[in-house]
Amino acid sequence: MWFFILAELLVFALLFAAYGFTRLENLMLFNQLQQQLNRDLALLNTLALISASYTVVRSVLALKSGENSQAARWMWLSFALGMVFVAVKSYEYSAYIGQGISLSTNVFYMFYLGMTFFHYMHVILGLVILAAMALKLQRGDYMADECSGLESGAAYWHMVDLVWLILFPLIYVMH
Amino acid sequence: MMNNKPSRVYLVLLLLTLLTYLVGENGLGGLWVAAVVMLVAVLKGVLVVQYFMGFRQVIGWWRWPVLVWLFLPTALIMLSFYLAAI
Repeated sequence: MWFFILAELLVFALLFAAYGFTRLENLMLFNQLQQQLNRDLALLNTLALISASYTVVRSVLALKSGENSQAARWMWLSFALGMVFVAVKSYEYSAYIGQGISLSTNVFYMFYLGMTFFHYMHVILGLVILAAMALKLQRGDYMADECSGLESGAAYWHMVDLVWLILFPLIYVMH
Repeated sequence: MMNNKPSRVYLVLLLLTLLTYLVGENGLGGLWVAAVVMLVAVLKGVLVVQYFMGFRQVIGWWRWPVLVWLFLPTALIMLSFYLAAI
């Protein structure tokens, strides 16, 4: 799992660098269009992802304390918070499609939509993992002293959060 | 007994996120503002890696790759912003 996570992180690092150096050649365009992005929704999404990471930590700690049902509740809460992110981002994408904006509109939207959609797909995979872990917690499949599977799934979710922590300031704030 | 460390880290992450948001809302820009915003993002990342992913308790080589990752895109992003500013 850790090699997979590191490979994913490396891909995102290259995308961030590509964004930065492409911005160099299109400074006016990037600065102008960045101001038109919905920063309020980005804030809501950032809070949702950070909160989901926190509740995943709570779930793992609850399991290690032998509180299986409590651990399942924390995991379902993480899932719900992750769904907030997906709902908000889906709403944003549908608004862009409605305005006729796509990857081919210009180089800024190519990066903005490309990077956020790539991350969005990781969130969806993370949600599948969270739901599977919540169900396993409900069934009592994890033990307090043997929960490496749960910790690996949690690490994947934190990776998704970690990427967004760089993506949010880079795309929505820094100019 | 409930472990309060993650709750404190969570609170700090929320506050740092609001700080970044306010920088954006006030239209602050330029190389030094970008550097501070990036520094805040790295600090948030370090908190997630150390306290949420649990790397603080890891001993040896495995402690470093994810932490080092945080500084790789940061350095490249800041280099691009520096080149844009000069």
